[in-house]
Amino acid sequence: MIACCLVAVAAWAQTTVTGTVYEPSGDPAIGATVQEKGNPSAGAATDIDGHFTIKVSSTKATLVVSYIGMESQEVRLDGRTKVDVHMKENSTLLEEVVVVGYGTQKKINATGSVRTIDNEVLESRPISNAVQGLQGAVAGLNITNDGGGAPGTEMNINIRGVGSIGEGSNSKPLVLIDGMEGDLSTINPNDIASISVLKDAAAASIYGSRAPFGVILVTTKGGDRGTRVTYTGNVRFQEPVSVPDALDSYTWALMVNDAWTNAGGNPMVGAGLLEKIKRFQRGELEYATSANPNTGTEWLHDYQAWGNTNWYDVYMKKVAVSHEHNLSVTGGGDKVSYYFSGNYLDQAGIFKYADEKYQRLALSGKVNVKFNDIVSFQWTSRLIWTSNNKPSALNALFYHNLGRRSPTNPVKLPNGEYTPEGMVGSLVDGGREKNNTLQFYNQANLVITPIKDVDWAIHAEINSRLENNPYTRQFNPIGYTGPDGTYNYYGVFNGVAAKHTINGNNGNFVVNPGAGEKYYEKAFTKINYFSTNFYTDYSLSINDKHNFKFLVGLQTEYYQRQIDRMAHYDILDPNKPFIPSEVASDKAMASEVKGEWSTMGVFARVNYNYMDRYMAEVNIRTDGASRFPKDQRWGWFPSFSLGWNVAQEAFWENLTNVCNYLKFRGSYGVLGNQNTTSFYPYYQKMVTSGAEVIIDGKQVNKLPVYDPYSTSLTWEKIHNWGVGLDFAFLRSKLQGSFDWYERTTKDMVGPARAFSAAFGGAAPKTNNAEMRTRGWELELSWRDRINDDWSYSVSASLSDYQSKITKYDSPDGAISGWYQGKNYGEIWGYDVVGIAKSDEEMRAYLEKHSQSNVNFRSGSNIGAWGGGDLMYLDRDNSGSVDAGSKTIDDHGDLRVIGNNTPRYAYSFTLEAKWRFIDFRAYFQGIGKRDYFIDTSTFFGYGANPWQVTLFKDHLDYFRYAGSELGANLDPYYGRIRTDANNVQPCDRFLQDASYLRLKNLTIGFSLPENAKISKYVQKARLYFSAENLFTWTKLKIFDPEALSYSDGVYDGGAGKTYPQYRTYSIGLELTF
Amino acid sequence: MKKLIYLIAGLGLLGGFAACEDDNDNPGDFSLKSELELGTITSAKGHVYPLTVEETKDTTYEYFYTVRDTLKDENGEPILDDLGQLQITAHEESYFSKKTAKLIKMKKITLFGQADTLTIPVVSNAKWSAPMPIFKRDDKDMTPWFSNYGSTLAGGGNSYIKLAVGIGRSARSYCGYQRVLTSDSMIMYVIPITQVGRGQTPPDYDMSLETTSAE
Repeated sequence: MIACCLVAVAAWAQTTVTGTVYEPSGDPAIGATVQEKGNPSAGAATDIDGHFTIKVSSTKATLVVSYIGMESQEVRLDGRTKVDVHMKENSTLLEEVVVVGYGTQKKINATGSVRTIDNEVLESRPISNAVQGLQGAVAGLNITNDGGGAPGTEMNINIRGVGSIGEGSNSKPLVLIDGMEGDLSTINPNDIASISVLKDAAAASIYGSRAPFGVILVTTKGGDRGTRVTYTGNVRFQEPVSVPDALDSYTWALMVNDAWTNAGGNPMVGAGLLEKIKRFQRGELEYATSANPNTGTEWLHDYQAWGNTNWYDVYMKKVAVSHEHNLSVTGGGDKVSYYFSGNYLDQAGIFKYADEKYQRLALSGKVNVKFNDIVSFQWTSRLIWTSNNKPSALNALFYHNLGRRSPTNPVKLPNGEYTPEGMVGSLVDGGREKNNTLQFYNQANLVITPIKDVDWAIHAEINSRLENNPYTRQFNPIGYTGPDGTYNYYGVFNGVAAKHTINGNNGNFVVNPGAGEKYYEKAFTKINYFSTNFYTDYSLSINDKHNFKFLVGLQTEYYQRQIDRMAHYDILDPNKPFIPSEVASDKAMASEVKGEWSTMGVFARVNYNYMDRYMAEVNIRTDGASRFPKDQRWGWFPSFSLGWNVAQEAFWENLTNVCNYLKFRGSYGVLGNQNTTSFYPYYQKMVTSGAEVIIDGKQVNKLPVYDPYSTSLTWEKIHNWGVGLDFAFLRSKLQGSFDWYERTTKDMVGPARAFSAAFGGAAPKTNNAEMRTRGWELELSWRDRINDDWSYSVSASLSDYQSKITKYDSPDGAISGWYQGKNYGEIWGYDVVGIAKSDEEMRAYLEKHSQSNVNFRSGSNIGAWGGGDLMYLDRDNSGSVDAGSKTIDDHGDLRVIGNNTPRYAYSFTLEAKWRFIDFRAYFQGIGKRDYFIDTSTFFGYGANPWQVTLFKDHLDYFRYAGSELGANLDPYYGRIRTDANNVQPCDRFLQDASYLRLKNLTIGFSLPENAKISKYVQKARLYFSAENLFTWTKLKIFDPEALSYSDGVYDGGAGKTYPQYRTYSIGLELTF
Repeated sequence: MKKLIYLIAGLGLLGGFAACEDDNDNPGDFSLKSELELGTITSAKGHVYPLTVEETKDTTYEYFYTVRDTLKDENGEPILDDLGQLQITAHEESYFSKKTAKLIKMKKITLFGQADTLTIPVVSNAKWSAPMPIFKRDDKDMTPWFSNYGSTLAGGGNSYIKLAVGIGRSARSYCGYQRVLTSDSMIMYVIPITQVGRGQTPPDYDMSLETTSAE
């Protein structure tokens, strides 16, 4: 009975609608698709006369009409049962808008360099943050990653290259999320609707001093008509890439012996031990170590043990599994619309024993209320929690040490405990580091349009971001039982001297725990950020020819940060750590860092265009910043730009079928940079540090003389100018743009001349330097639809930049520092003539060109030369190969051998869709980058006997006949040595760090629209996606995106970083 | 469209091929044998001492290893000791390897009775060493009357060995043996050297070589 009623009700609810679809020419459109919006099961196609009949749920429904080569149209029935639809040619380009500061603009009228992309680059990809997804997506938006793939790693972002040398200021772009400064690395990528990159001064100048190096505008998703629930989720399988090939212990021992004897020393591994290593490898020995006969309390290790351990196998998981889930609800009507979402990411690390966990929980909501035709209101809240939980020992020092582990050491001692040299115990039991971040964004946006039918709006925005960052770090006592039963403690950073100091600049604790130490550290970071934007815009059109848009506004910002840090290194119970209450303790540390800054800016903008043909834009902004002395706080920053769309000229009419859009544009602007590293660069500062004085057996602190300040410190001024060309051919199937620009950072912050040593304080920062960056960008895309089933697109981007120091006060002209004329990223080194094949050849060379002063590396020695060693070029033919005084005026035989700036950044994307299958391949690369790696990870030995990191790649070194490792008379490396003879910076070992990477490959299967399940599921898509699938590079040993790493205390070089991942994922998207 | 598919398939194949990680096999050439030759000895005083082979001898390396087993009776049953434990036996066995080393013994060189510095040219593709000469008589250590020195104690590839020669009132009563051998011990030269008394000329010295050398 009930079923019958339901069927009857359903039948009653159906409404039949008829109509005709016409082509732009007026002819009937045959085969056009007509569907009810939000109800995929209701669909029809037009017949030979363009007629259609469709049953819809009600006469309030909306029809969606699509036709090949035409723009899809939505037609609201509004009670009608018969409709005629006139299709329009696809003119996406004419309607395409770009998001600019405080508004949007038609792309064809934009005169600044702006690129807006939708969230396609972020969708269906197993990325852990939005920054990763943007890499290579926009020409000129340079996102590089040298730090590997550690969970929570932040990538480097710049727009159009570096703009500052970083001596007191930075050149990071401003990231605005819905108009408020935010963190692009923590926002839920699924919440992003579009991203706009404002590259030049004309586009960014409306943000004044906060955006001298470009802006990234993120617009998040909002509500829409009709309720939709969407779930997306994926499971990821991650494997490390470019993991070095480790050596077996016997080969390793032979190489160690070669290195020592080649440097004039004795073999480190004796014949007896070599034989023992072989026996262990044959399985004849059960244990790889035994009691040290000299002490009895220790186990033999390193050059005395005989195991065969591949430490990369020990530490690297084959696969780490992560997963992400996202649920969003969107809906609304004419008055109210809403969007709510929740996202959870659980990312595992790649190191065994470490139990790393990076988690992100992001909740967001956006509600739009349209009170009436005049007043509308939007509220956005976003709560983001991230947690990074890892062993305290898993830092840059760990990555540095990983390659240095001797394969002769076993993982476990004969008693079953972890061997101290293996560092496993440090990871497992050495204590955890937990870094949590809670970010709470709230934004209220009131829009008033006072006069009906007049395009005038008043905006009032109030934004706040509250951040809380609880942090703990613990070091637990770890040790092992010696052969005689005694228990021995060792430091979590085994082999490093104990240290407990406070960094006077940032309040961080620099701690190397001593053996047996129980250390507990807590820190709380609190950030409050408030900003307001009040602005009004008014559009005016005169005779539909002269179009004006005016904008005037006021922006304020206030930022406050406080970091309280405390620690104690003798806690009672490591399992329940707390800071003990003590009146005075020599084992406690505390620091407090706090600061605040504020800005205020008044801005105005006028846009003008004449019939979409001629355009002009003028911006003016005055900014005040708290970071400068009172009389230097305010600055004026103007910019202007012009555009000419030739395709709108009358004489172009006959060419529009070929080229429908051709716009020339140019811009010039001056922006100020207030992003000084210090919040108070004009204050005197006294920083405590450890004194070289011992009182009562303890090192005491000293308070050196204050660092003086500069009373004239003021804005860095960034002068931008550039020209560009936007074009579209073949009815916008082929689109593209080209930009050339020059950016000069004038009055750049640099150090003043050093004072006499008698004064004791460092010279202040002052505005005495200048830097120039020139570059260009090219973007191309081709989109086409072959028929109803097939569509495809190809897009590509290419960009380049070079930066040069055009002014710098360098009294000594040291090539290791900055000087006038220096290209950013340049690498100095020798040229190599070749490898001497014999002692005789080397002797003959040395008679003409002594190499006794060749050492260009500090802290290393040069030994005797012989066959197998490098012959460096005596460029000045002085009879001696040397580095002179290492200055620009006297650099001996050194020359600039390369530049490590990543150049020719490029990407290309291939997309195709056939019915319900979609395919996407996204390639990204760097066309040119030199890199010199001076560490043991590249050379095997890093200029001293104890920096030894031997991989299979290092076997390509010079060896004579008779070597147990085979002769190698034409090798890549010179003979392996423990000193610095063959590891000088030089052209021979300069690496080509360029690469091409298949960043993402995705194949998706969507539920066909006519499937039965479509009645219940609006969209269902299953996809397989892979990240970093293939890499083409000439770089030896390492991954081109894992070349350096720093955790603020230790700097790791190439190979001393967390490895990169290759990720395979399977995902599901469901919309109900 | 087919072309696009072919392109994508081609790129995929190319990717698969190019993404294969480099093979990091040892590039060492194990077939290249050590070579070592010594040239004519010349001296700072202008003397020339040609080297002549007296005897060559090939020796195959023999390797020894220890075989351990439990002590068993005629029936193959283990024989326990008084404490009921297995008794371990050990005996040494050996085998000959495929490596055959060459010993080249040179005819004795008799030097002039004057202090001098000798140079022995070495032509080799290997690392080699020239250990300090052994001076022994009747199993007693003797004061060396010549020695090699400096960086030429060991070398790589072509080079030379320097010997500093002292002087005695009368002829040397015992020989010094300068050995030169490759680092893998596959070729070893032994040069016996002695010296006549102060101011004397070696009896079999060929003065014409000096003339030839001078020319």
